[in-house]
Amino acid sequence: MKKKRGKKKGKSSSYSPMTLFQKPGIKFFKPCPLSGKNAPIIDYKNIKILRKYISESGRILPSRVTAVSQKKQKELSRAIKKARLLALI
Amino acid sequence: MYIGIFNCIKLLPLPKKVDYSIKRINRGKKMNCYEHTIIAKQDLPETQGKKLIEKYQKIINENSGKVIKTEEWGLRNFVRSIKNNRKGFYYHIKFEGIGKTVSELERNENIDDKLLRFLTVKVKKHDLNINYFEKKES
Repeated sequence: MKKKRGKKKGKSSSYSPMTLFQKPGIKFFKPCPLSGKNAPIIDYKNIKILRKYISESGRILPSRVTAVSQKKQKELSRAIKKARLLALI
Repeated sequence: MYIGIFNCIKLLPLPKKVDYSIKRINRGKKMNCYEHTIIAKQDLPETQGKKLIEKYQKIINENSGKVIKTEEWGLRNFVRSIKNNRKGFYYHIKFEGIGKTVSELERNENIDDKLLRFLTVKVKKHDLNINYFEKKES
């Protein structure tokens, strides 16, 4: 009996405190919308997609809000800055 | 033994001839792909707009470059005003060239007072299929 209890304690400690409020089946984070198959191309001419990732006042949204991966966020911010120079956004 | 080795050498394929004619034009330099956009002033007439593109196409072709495609995005509203202008004509050129072509092109555009702004972007490969600012004909 003592051994079993020890195992249970070890498992419970591996969970982060946020998972206590969530069901175990549900995934915690969103996948990146711009990477993977059939993802849209990031380009400074593609205004439709760039408009999704800026706020109303024209500032770039942080990746913790939009769940874009770090590599794609770098591409995105460079594309937005080029589009700003041409006054497209 | 010796005869056998000689036979082997004969069977080997000869090295292929390389076309040096392409390399001679750019003196052995590799061509880069560039995208170039120009914003012209609103108040210039349409006939002058076509002359303006031809002028810059000529500069690219003379300075060891090659124009691949040109696009006209037409009159568009600016989101923010540029030099107290609210509208402007957009022209887009895709070309291949070396560093000298870009520097010569931008030098001429800095002098020109019909233009408001320009941008050059280096790309790895041109995608000629997509045009984001195509006009809908209906």
